[in-house]
Amino acid sequence: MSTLAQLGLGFSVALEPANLLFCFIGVFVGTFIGVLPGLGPIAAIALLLPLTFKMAPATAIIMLAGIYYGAMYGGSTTAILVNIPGEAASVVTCLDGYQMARQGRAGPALGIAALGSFIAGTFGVVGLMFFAPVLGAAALRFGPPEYFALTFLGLTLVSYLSRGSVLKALLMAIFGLLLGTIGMDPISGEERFTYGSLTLGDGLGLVPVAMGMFGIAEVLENLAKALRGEVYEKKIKGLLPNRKDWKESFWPIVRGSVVGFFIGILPGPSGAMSSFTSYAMEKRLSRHPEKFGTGAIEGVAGPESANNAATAGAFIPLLSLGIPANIVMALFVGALMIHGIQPGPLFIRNYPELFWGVVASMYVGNALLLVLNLPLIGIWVRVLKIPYAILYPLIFLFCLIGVYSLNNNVVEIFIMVIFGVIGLVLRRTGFEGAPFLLALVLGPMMESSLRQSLLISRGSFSIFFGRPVSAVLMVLGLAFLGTSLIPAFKRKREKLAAEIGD
Amino acid sequence: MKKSSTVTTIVFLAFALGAVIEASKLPFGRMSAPQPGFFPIVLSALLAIISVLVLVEVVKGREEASVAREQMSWKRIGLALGALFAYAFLFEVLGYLVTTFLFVTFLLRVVDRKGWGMAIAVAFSASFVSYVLFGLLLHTPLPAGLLPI
Repeated sequence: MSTLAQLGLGFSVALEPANLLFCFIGVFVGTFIGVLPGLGPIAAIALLLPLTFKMAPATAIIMLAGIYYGAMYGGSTTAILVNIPGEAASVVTCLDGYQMARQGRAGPALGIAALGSFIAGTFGVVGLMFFAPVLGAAALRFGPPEYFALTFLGLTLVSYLSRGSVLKALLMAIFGLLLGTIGMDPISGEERFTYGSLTLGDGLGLVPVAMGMFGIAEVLENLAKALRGEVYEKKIKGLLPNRKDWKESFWPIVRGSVVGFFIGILPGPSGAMSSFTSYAMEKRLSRHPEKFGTGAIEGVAGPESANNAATAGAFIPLLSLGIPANIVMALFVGALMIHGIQPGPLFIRNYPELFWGVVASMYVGNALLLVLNLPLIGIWVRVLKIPYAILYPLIFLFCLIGVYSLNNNVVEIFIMVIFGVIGLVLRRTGFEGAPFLLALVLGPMMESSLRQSLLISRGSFSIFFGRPVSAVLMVLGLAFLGTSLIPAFKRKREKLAAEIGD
Repeated sequence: MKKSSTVTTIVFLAFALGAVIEASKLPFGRMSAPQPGFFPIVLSALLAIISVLVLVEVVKGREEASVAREQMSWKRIGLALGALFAYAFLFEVLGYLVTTFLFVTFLLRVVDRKGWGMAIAVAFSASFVSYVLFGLLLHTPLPAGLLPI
């Protein structure tokens, strides 16, 4: 079948009334949860995941995908209007988006974010359409060493890109890998570090840990600071960017789409990474970099496009290799497994209607977002005007219900609250959550591929460097590790020299 | 910042050493045939080494203050945390509606010093609406507890 015919098949799946309805519900709920500060796609998916257990697999995935990009979009709305990033990927949108809103240009900022996201999302879907099958075919020849090298590269990359100390990021990554070994051994099935707990027998749940470290910890931190951004009151008029805005945003959107897509393919918190990269790139390429941070529309258009393209890109390692690139993708694995479907190199061949249906639904979902969000912005503004004293108990409630509804297990509520405390302490002391969480997701795959590789090679590590694909990935990972540590030494020496000079 | 960072890193170091001891109880196997203990031991040893490196980094104070110092009101955090733990303990005993009602009332009345009327009104509508939405419409199995629903 040609790509076009397959895409036709996809649209016939995506446009079935039930699928269309759940795509709409996903996008809508996703945006709503994304608008609430402290809650992002993970909480949104956890809340609605149990609903998908009884659906047809295609419907389930279509709805979850809708929640994912809806939540990303909702996050940018709050960034622009209240200077509070709804989730990590929209942190940079605050910089120029909120400034635009203060100058009375909230409309064009929201408009360009929506249109840029739509263009980039469409680009990402086209990329997904072409890359996923190719990579899937190549991945059929991947063995344990390649999988180990991929996870290794993902973890070094996320540590490398962390803010602050690289050593602290590495520490968090290893901490995550270590906690990932709790539960059943992936090869022999032996129980490890469960201390008789049935809940821990299945491993430390990703959702309670993630919602604790991000949702609960963030709300607690906001509570202590008791600060609250101001919703930009001025009437939002003229959502459509004018001709000058378009001219300034065109290339940032194009560049953001391409960069975001390729960052999305790499394992890691790709949404945040891609928007930061795009912002830095636009600032460097701009003829007036001093305008960034004071309401430059490029600073909204580029990153917003990038994080949407990354959303599509992130599906590639999942659907073609079976590697979840972030927590959201790990939840997708869970959703697929419930229907007895294993994502991996054979996924596209075995379930064409599922793959192409999801691809087509992403076009539909992006179009829905565009149509929905422009008129619905009024509602989101009203949600944001709810005083924080009333909003945060609701955010807590969403976290509590979301975690409980996954397995109906109260122990997981405790795990979430405990990780809320841990997350609060760590973020106050400069330890980042992202490497930890990715390590927790990739840990089991990393361990089993490492052990299988060592079995094959009879204990020799040369196996990772003797095969072309894994060699390239390993060398890349080691290079990131090396170069991130060298500047640390450099700075240390500089500081030492300065002290001696005094 | 520096002090709390130091303490956190020492806790990590202690955790890593404890993990080394616990992991060494599992069979390690050989390099050519690694057993369940292999990965945890390697990781906990690595964690201990990196904790020491981070400790050196923090104590030498090379690291810039990455988190701005602000006034934090720890009392509110403590109260909210207490409420969350209480929620987890009471959830299955009292049931979803009652626990949620008490939880939201407590947060509004005690943590945020809102009036009783406001607290109860919000708590009542929050627990009721969320029950209808999740319990009835989305079929999330929520414990009934005291109320026969």
